[in-house]
Amino acid sequence: MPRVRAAPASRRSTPEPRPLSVRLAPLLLLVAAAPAAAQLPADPPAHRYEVAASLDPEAHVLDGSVDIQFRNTADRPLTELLFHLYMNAFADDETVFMRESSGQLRGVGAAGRGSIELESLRVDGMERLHAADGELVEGDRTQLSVPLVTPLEPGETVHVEVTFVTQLPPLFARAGYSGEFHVGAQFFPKLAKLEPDGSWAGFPYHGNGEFYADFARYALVLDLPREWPVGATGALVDERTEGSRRIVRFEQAWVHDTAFVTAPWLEELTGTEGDVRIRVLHPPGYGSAAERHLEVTRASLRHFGSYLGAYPYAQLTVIVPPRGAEGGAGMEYPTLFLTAGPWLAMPRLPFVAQDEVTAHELGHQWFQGMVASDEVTHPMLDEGLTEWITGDALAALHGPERSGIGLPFLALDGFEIRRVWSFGKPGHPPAAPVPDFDGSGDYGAAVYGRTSSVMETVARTWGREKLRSALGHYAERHRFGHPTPADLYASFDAIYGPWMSRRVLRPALEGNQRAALHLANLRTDDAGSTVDLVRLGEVPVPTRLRVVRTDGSTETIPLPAQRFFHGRLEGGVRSARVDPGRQNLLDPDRLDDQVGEARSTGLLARALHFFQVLVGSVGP
Amino acid sequence: MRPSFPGSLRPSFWPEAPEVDPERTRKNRRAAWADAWRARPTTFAIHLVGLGLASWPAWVLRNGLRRAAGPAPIEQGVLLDVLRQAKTSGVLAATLAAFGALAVALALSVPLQMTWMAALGGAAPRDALRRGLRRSGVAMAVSVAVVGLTAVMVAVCAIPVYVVHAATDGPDARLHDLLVLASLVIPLGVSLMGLAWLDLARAAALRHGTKESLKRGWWSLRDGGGTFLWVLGARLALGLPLLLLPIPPLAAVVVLQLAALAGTFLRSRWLAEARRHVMERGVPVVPRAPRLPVVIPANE
Ligand SMILES: [Zn+2]
Repeated sequence: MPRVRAAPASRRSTPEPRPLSVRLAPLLLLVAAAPAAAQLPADPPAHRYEVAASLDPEAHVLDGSVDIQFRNTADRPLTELLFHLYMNAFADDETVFMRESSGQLRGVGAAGRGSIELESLRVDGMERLHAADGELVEGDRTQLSVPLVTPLEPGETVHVEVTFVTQLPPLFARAGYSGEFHVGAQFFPKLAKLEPDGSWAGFPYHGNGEFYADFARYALVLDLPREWPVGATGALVDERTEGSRRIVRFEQAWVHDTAFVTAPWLEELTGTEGDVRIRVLHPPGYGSAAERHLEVTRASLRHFGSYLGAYPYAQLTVIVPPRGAEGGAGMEYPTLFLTAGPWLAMPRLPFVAQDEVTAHELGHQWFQGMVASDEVTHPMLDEGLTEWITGDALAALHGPERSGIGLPFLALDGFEIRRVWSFGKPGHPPAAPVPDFDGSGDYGAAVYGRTSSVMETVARTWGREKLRSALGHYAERHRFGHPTPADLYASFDAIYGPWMSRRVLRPALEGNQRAALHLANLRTDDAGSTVDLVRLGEVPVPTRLRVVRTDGSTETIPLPAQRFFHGRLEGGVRSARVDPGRQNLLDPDRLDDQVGEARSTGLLARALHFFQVLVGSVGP
Repeated sequence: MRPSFPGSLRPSFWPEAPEVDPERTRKNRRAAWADAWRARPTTFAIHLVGLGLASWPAWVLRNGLRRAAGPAPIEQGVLLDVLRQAKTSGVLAATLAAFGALAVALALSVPLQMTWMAALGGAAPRDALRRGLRRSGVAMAVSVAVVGLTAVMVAVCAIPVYVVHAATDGPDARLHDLLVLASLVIPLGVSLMGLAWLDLARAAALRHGTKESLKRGWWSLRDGGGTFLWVLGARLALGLPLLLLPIPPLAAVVVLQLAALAGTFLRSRWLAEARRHVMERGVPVVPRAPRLPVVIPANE
């Protein structure tokens, strides 16, 4: 799902100023790490979807049908089928989605209604719509349960044919239209995820979670106005015109969803990265921004591919949404994503937000697209891990110190921004399910902010390459699977040892534990100096203490991860600082990390001058 | 084609501006440096008033941030923590103090500026103060009129900005944004013109009544508008960019205070020039040309 915010990074042990000309170098360095081409599994997926829809661009209506071949992959017979009908989330204000999101997403409010109406639903040729239950949660019609006449035995396949009419809503939350710009996502009836025990992973459409489905072979046939360019999941395999209309067919195996974007004025920029063909579809005037998105997409494909396993699909489509379509921006679908940002391309300027959205949504091709965990029950495995790999990629692109903000006079580490974000609200642990969170602020701080802060602390404390190996272990082992947090912990334990999940990951991610550091009581007497360190929280992160002696010399002392430390230091000490390299991002407050003399920064002189200019503007 | 046109398109009820004498304008500009130099004690006193007002919010801000930061230097790594913790105390208090200082500066601006301009006209500091206070009533009326008229003009000129901004048809955001930017130029220019007019009209208020001051100020825009923009630009250039200079604290004090003082002096030089321009306006320096009938050739 979406991210719209500033950006991220990591830190080398000795930060050094980087001249402007060197700042683009990481892009080039990443070229060297190009991963080997990957393949999709040779076997076809167990299920098959054929979605066909005709777009009425004036009424914003999709008239369509779905043809599903669904095999019972569970180990017991199925007595019902469970569908998601997500577009009904926009039917009125009483749906779960509208109640949870208060009718807005990232500040964009709902300006109209949307819905999906089924006209028929046949199971193995037999009409079953009359027997279906469409309101599994009171007031919410985003799920549909259809009892089967005869149970579906394990290994058997059922043939489902549905015809539907979808009214797209004005675009405020992922799917819909803004003028002529149409985002067709979650617009057709789709089966819920079938769990191995024969139960359906049913949930209504939530404000903050939607993805969880079985891998299938998807075909998407669209009937569109003839001149309208279109981007969709998979590759274009067939195209023909009929009068004023054009019919296109996209296909892709081993994906768990399909989506499309179309508008009459879309322009196209193409590129390749290895065997992957990249299309960037953008509005007029956005040409240079599209070039930057393409550049970041290529660099990030290499970066993610180098440790998470290569991107295996032949095609990747990047959509740059126009002004007014912010509600659909920053959103991922298999082999397609919508990025964000203004028409202004800023490759050499210090604002990383535009790059960040592209890197983040591309990252979801792994953590959601291929490693298809349950986004509603374990959003941490989806958004949380994606947020860390985004920050890591941004640090590689811009340099760790400038990965959040890179103005000439103000550089901010993106992971410092995430740290402060994650401590903004005393909320739920990152491992909580979506419905538990108190609104999107709590959800964002925990799932995006805290999960990525935990991962980055592990990277800075025990090594970045090792963390990448652990995530790579998890991503490769569960590629085209549906892992749970236990699988993530198992991968980390395989790389670090069994202490990692028990001592670090579980306390931090499930227990919401911190690793707060508090330095106090610097005293100097004839015998030397003493300083006390207090730790709060259950995450044992070893750290360092840097002392500045009265003679001006400095020394860095490693400190084990014990709760209290009472240190006696030789000679006089002017000041002391714990965690000088800022490796620990589980510390809510860096201001109590230092004792001793304050260093003047000329703050008063600057504040005075600032207010002089201000007063002078209204004064005599 | 329109034939050349004796007279102008000026409506008949609008008083005709005297001609501009370029030589006299140049002379005023040169003389303004001498005026400004002579009045430097008053200028310095005015500078001290501004410094005093600014030191109030600056001190509050500095203390608030120091309290939040403790012994940690306020730098990149702790900046976010400082902001998070200071927003409830230091920054809020400093914002209130800044508004207070601005309100006081605004209240004092008319009597102070009138005193300043009297001193720039050669009056001794004590006489300048007496004269400045005596003329403040007229200057206040003039200021209200100029600000009001300018606000009306800006509002009218901002209509196209609103229209362009509200036009959401078409996906070309770049074109849209450039059009909005272009349409902003006119209201921005009118605002700057209003500010120059304000100084000029106040300068005229040293001697004349409200209506005459407004008129003379308006006419003098042609002599003084360029200088106003130049001084404004120079003060801004001497101002905020210096805040970002990576220099040590002591050097920052020296450099920033020198810059502020230079800014005040530049302003005094502009006010001196404004005073000279409006004194001469209204006095025709070139004999007025006799009005000729408008002649429109028959077949063109
Ligand atoms: Zn996301």
